Amino acid sequence: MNRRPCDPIRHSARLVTDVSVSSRAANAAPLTERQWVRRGELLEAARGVFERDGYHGTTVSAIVQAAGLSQGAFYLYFADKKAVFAALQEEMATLLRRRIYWATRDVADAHRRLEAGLQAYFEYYQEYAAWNRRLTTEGLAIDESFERRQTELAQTLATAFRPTLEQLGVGETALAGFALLGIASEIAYWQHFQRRDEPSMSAAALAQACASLFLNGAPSIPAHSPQGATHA
Amino acid sequence: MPEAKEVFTEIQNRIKSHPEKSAGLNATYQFDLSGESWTLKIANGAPELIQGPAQSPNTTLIATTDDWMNIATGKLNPVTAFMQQKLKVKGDMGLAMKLQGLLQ
Repeated sequence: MNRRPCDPIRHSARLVTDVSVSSRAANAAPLTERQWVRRGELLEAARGVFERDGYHGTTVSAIVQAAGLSQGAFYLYFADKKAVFAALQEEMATLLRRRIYWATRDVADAHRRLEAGLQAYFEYYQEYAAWNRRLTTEGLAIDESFERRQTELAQTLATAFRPTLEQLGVGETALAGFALLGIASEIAYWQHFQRRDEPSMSAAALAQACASLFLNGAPSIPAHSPQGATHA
Repeated sequence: MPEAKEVFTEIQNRIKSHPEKSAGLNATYQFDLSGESWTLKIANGAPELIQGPAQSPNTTLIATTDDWMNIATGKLNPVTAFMQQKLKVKGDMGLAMKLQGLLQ
């Protein structure tokens, strides 16, 4: 496995002024480029172990063994298992946000834009299916911080879909945006982990199905009445 | 997949829309893709996009156009790309990582 591209970079230890990875605290100490790569190796190895053993079955020892690093090296970058899982959660969310953004950015037709965004989601889910499964089945139960990060991601995505939903005549776009994500999430989980004899569907086909389910249901959402409002 | 120009224009726009992230930064990035080069000059935090190579870049990022586009659009993790030698960096590696931070 190629881990580092060349020796001059491997042995260099210039300080960088930006941590450049969203999951590190803004006031964290600067990383050297060697540390940047090491941290990346640990994250990659950790994802593999979490996917294989689950969150509760994963140990720091297993992560460092998979990364080919020492236990001491792990603690230079992460306080514990929970911290590395949180870092992965944020970095994977960044990938997903970018994918959906670029997949939908230049699509003029609202219906096609909705499908393009969903297709990007299903492609992402397919590529990282094992990770997404762990995140869904275990991540939210670790503690409230994980739930908060997932809620923030869902909020970001729901907000990003909102103008598209408005163009499509969908009412209650805040509610509908979360409903859309819920439908997509359940379909993706079904496709990869619950489907039995049904044939596998492509990301494009899943996106079409999801959009169709959503658009045939969402327009029928009644207008929201404030609590306490009375009608004649 | 978007064109390279769209991605670089987007990078420029993101830097402009978050001036606090690039405040005080002076750097010239050159991107050598498959058969094309782009230059992003940041002077006191203000970005300028130029099609073509730079005279004296601080940092040169080298990748195929496809790999670069995959990195920019979230299909390829930049650290993974670096470790797999799909992304190479010449010059100031710290500035390369700074660029990644600007794009979050």
